[in-house]
Amino acid sequence: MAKEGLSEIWVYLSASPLTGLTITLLAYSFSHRIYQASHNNPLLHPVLISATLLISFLLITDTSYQDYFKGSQYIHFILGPATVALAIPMYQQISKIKQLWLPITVTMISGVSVAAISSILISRVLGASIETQMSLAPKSVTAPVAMGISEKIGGLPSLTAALVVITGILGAILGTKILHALKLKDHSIKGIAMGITAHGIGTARAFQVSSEMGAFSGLAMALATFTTAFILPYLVRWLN
Amino acid sequence: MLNGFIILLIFFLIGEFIANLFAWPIPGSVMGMLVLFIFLIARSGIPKSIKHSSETLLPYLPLFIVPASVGIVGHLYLLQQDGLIIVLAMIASLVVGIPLCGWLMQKILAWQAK
Repeated sequence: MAKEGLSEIWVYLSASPLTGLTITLLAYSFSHRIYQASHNNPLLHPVLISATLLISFLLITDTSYQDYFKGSQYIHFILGPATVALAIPMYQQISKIKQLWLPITVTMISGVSVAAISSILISRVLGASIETQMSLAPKSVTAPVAMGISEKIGGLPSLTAALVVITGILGAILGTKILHALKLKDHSIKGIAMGITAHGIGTARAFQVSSEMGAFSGLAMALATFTTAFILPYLVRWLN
Repeated sequence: MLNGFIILLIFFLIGEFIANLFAWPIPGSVMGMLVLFIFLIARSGIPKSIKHSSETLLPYLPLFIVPASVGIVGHLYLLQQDGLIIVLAMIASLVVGIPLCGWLMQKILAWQAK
C-alpha cells in the first residue's frame, strides 16, 4: 500500500515543473564544480556534463522531455535577455573594432562562410540528413544565437546546442595546435581565428594562453555572431 | 538588477518586433543585441543598470542552454545515424577555417601597413 502511494507521488512529482527546474540547477551546479576543479578543461565543459547527466536521468526514470521542459523552460527563457546582454562585452571592445574594422570584416565574412559551407557540403556529401546539415551550419557561433538561426533555417535547435558545445571543445583543443603548427606569432590574430571558429569555449581557452589572445577571441566571437545571423539564412537558401 | 533586466527585455521585444516586421530570418534576440549595441554607441557609454544585469546574467550563459541541449534526447536516432559524419564535418571545418582566418588577418594587416 505504502509502495503504491510512493509511486503515485513519483508520477505526480516527475511531471511537476519543480522537478525539471531543480534537477537542471543541481546538475549544472555539480558539473560547474567539476569543470572548475579540472582548471577549465574543455573536455569537461559544464554543458556537456550536465546534459549527459540529465539525459541519463530522463532515460532511466522514463520521464518525457515535455515533462522535463515544463520546469526547465524557466531557465531556457532567460537565454533571450542574456543574448541581448551580449551587446555589452561587445561594446567594451569598441576601440579595437574601430581600429581593425577592415581586416576583421573581411576575415569575418570569409571565415563564417567557409565554416558554414564546409560543414554543410561535407555532411551532405557523406549522406547526412537535411536536419543534420542545417543543425551543423551555425555551429561556430555562440549557442543561444546558433539555436535561433538553426530554427530559422530548418535545423533542430537542440541538436545545434549540442554541436555548438562539441565544436567549441574541438576548437579549444585542436585550435591551439593548428595555430602553433601555422607558426603564427601575433596573439591578436590567433585570438581572432579562435573566436570565429570556436566561440565562447575557444575564447576561454584563448584566455589561458594570453589575455590579449582572449580579448581578441571575445571580440571575434561577438562579431561572428552578427555576421552569421545575417549571412547564414541567405547562404543556406543559395546552397539549397 | 531589476531595472537593467527590464531594459534587456525591452530591447528583446524591440528586436522581436523588427525581425517580425521585416520578416527577417534573424532571431529577435540577436536583433535586440544589435539595437542595444547601436544604442550604446549613440550614448557612448554603458548605463550602470544594464552593466550590472549583464554582469549578473552572462556568467550563467552555459546554464541557460542546458534545457535546450537536453532536447537532443528526442533526436538520439539522428546522432546514431549521422554521429560520425557530424564529427568529421566539424573537424574538417575547423582545419580549413582556423588557418584561413589567421592567414587573411595577417595578409590584410601587412597590406594596410604598407
